[in-house]
Amino acid sequence: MPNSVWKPLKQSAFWLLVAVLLLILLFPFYYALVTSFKSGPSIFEVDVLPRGFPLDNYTSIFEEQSFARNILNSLFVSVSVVAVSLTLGLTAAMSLGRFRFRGRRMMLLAVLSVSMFPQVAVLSGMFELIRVLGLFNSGFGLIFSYLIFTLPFTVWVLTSFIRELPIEVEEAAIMDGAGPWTLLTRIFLPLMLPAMVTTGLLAFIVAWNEFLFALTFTLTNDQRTVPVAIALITGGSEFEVPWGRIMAASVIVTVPLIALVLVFQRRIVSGLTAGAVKG
Amino acid sequence: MGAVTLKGVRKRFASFEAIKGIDLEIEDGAFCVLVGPSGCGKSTLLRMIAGLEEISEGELSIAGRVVNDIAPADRQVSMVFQSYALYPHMTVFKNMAFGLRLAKTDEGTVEQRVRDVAEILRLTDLLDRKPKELSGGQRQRVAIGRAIVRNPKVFLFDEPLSNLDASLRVRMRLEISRLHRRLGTTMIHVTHDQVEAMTLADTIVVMNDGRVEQVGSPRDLYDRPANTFVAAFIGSPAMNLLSARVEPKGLRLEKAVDPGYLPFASAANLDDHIVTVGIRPEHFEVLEKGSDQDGALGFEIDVVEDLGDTRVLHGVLAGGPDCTVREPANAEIRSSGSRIFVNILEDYIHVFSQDGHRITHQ
Ligand SMILES: Nc1ncnc2c1ncn2[C@@H]1O[C@H](COP(=O)(O)OP(=O)(O)OP(=O)(O)O)[C@@H](O)[C@H]1O
Ligand SMILES: [Mg+2]
Repeated sequence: MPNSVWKPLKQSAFWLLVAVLLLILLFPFYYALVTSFKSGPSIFEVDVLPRGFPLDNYTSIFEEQSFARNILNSLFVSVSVVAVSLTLGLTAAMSLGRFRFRGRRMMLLAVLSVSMFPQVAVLSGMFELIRVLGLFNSGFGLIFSYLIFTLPFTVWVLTSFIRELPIEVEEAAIMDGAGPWTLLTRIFLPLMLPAMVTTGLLAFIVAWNEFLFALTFTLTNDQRTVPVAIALITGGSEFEVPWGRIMAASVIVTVPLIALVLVFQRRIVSGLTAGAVKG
Repeated sequence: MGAVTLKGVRKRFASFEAIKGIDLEIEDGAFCVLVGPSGCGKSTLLRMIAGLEEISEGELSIAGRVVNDIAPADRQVSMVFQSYALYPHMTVFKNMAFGLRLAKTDEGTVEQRVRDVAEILRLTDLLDRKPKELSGGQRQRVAIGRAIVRNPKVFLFDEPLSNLDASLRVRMRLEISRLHRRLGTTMIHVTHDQVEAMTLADTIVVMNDGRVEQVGSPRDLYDRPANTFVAAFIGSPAMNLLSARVEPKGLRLEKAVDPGYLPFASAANLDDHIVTVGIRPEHFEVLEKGSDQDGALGFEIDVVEDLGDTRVLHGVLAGGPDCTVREPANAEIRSSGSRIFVNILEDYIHVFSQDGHRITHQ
């Protein structure tokens, strides 16, 4: 085929593919948004465009249930998980990536293998552990249990990142008179910021969306996090599934994630590629 | 005062001994170059002086003070790394100011010193750039600048030019030489490059397998190598080392089928029976065709390498050992397979005992 025909064809095929992908990815969210403005039986009518923007569903989840409280719980748990994962991850990565000691490989493998168990497999054991520690029905129990998801990849990503930082940069700083603290705060942290933003964000998303542990380890509504709270949103009667409210709540909790990703977008990309290019 | 003194310095990595006892005295203001084959411990020695590697045994003093247990930053030495090791997230200015600021120098002085040094190294226009926006040569200059601003007593350079291309290397070599004259600070410089060593150094330290083989001026090392290792290491193409038998008439090359005698008047004074004879390729005199000088040796040319200014002939000397001869390129063209005659002046013959030590004669 001549080039003049082939090239536009290829280009339109490409954009068509992109459009289909975007549609598949975004349609569920869009439909949730549309549904969140509906109430009563109109839920079951299929509409592509919303007919109006009544905020009844949005106000009712705050007024009739303690959704604000649930959001605060989620924020507290997720932010703490990020902070703890990054602190532990960074210090662990410094020792695993910079010092040679006996059992280092074993330790790295152990960290990795933790993340291989399915969640259900650790559920009952974790339950016992949390009860023994007296963390049942509390945010701290959730923070503690989420670390088994977030720490492995945080430690792995940060360790491989630290290994790629040339050791001579560190030695140059030592010659310049930097102690361990200066080294960490003025050399390591700025250099690792992209990796930390990326892993931190992933940890946040994991903690924000987690359902099974949150359901199992909390009892009362004032301790619940958002995913569980949404699942347990009650309708007007026992037989009504309140889709409108559920969708309104889903939209509310998705917004912070989108905002975070947009804010840190540039850093995430540079973090991912920095790791990718260097190997 | 920036003299560096090592007394019986050793370095052990677990069971492996990388530095096997080094005694060395580097005078204040000297330009000392460490050379030696890969893995002989040059970097290790330099890093011990810097304080980045602990000293297993022995004593290291800088400017008259024993510094074995003193932190790197307090030894008043600066190091330039082979990979430059600039701080990637800081501008050139901040890279150079980092050490000064950590030492709590007041901001006015920092600004002043960095600008002065930037002036010397022609970095003034680059002060606001990040390392990734610089060329290799510019990065190298920043690395050197970062070392200079702290006004150290000793500079340590670990193969600072090896990442640069040939022409830039020559320019930076000159620049380092100029810098040394200007600052007058003691410099210790590790290199693989013969020419770099010969041109920069006023003292060359030849190392091998964790030990010092010889210390001396470039001239000393070239004219009077203490052993066959130094003889073979200094000079390019390398010195010919040929085994010879001591006979009353002179030194007779082993394996030679021709008479194969080297002129050596004091042969009779040698105690050894078999010695190693060292002759630099450039010290052969290639005889004109037809002239049949007394004592000339036949040379069978195998390969000719034309280097532009000189020509290197690889071949067989006197029908026996392999040998390299260098002659000016303006001599007549020679083809491989042809046979010429060469002559050797007695003054240019080095004699080593069989275990490799120089035999002093006369
Ligand atoms: N941290 C270490 N642990 C164990 N052995 C080491 C360590 N550092 C260096 N060595 C060994 O010490 C010896 C000297 O190394 P060094 O880096 O000083 O060599 P070098 O002379 O600088 O070589 P090159 O010219 O290739 O840079 C080598 O055999 C090396 O394997
Ligand atoms: Mg080295």
